[in-house]
Amino acid sequence: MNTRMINHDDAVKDLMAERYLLGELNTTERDAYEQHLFSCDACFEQVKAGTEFVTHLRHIGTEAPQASLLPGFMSQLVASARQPLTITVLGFLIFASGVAIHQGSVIAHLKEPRPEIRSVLTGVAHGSGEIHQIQVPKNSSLSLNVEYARKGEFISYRAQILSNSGTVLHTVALPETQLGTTASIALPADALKPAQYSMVVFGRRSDGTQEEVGRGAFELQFTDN
Amino acid sequence: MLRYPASGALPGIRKRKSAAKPEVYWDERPPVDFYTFDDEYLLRLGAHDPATEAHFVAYFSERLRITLRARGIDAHTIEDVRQETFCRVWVAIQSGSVNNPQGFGAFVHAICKHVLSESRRIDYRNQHDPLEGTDVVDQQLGLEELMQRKENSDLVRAILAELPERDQHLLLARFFEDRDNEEVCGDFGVDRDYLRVLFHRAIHKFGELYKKKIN
Repeated sequence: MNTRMINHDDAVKDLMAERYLLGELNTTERDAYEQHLFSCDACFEQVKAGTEFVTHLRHIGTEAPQASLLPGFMSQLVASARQPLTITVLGFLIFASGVAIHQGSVIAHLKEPRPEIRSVLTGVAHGSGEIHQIQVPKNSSLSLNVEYARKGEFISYRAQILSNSGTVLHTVALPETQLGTTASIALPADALKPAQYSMVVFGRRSDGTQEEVGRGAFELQFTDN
Repeated sequence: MLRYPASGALPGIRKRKSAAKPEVYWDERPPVDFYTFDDEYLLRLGAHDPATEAHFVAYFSERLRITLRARGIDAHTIEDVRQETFCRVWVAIQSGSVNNPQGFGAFVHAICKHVLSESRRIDYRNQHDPLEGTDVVDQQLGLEELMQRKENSDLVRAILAELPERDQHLLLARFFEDRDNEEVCGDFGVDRDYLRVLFHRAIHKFGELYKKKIN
């Protein structure tokens, strides 16, 4: 304890706290000032604040500089939204939400109660070229039925709806449990546009070849256009 | 973490000096608090009075930590020196060898210096790693400490943002890049007084903002 005593006023006047933290004091001055710090709250608070300031200054120096647009939570949100990963995830979430909403609306539309119109298309299989006129409201359910000839050589059957140009629009495999000789396809009426169509039934052999076993033609018209 | 102990809660006697005259760099200087230790304090400490012991540990732990840190001592050594200092001080109190209670702060500081010198001599003699490995103190901060650290960093960032660009770079060059005072002043074309005053104002502002935040 042979260091000289430091007067508080002199310490303040000489900016001893700043010089101490800047490492400007020699060994004797430093020991004397530290001894003073062990008794003087005001000087110690100054040194403590300076130490904290320097610590955080060093910490800040390691961070990348970035402009703060908005204070607090919003600025953090905006800053994080600029990251490529965040943008990608956000885009994916928006896309997935959109698909889910669209699918939900379609499913809800299909689940709506609607009147069912049954039509039996006969004629072509029986040698007649008659085209059936089907007039239905758009929100109805259409049930199309065609008679066909069952043969032992076929292992399975399927029914197709073809456009006038021969494009396959719908295909339904007839289940083995379906008895009788009438093939049925049920679909929402608005799944088709007003036009002429054919419903054709094919029989399929074990070697993969198939043969037409029934056909009916119809012209669809909507009553609520 | 910066803590300002509540003066009313501390045991012992506080001698409050009259406000000093304003100096060049101080707008309004607060009254100075000197903590005055006395016989009664040492008696209570020797008798293991819990409040006095808690004050003793809190008061000197902060001072030892900050002064040793200013000397560039690592955290493990600081903790060792602190423990050894407290142990020797307590033995001295028990044996009644503290002759001047008013100079108790200086006494603790002197013991700390001796312990630090011994620690350096021992380290110098034994410059090898222990065979069983070294136990590393867990430096991970708690959530509250992390939040406080972030808030204090924000304060420092706000203070920096108010400074001219040159002063910002000057402080970063001195403390972040850890460059020499002379070199930094030369590069920025300022004298040493300018650096001291700039640093002083930044610390003062930091202290003000911190007090405002905790109030």
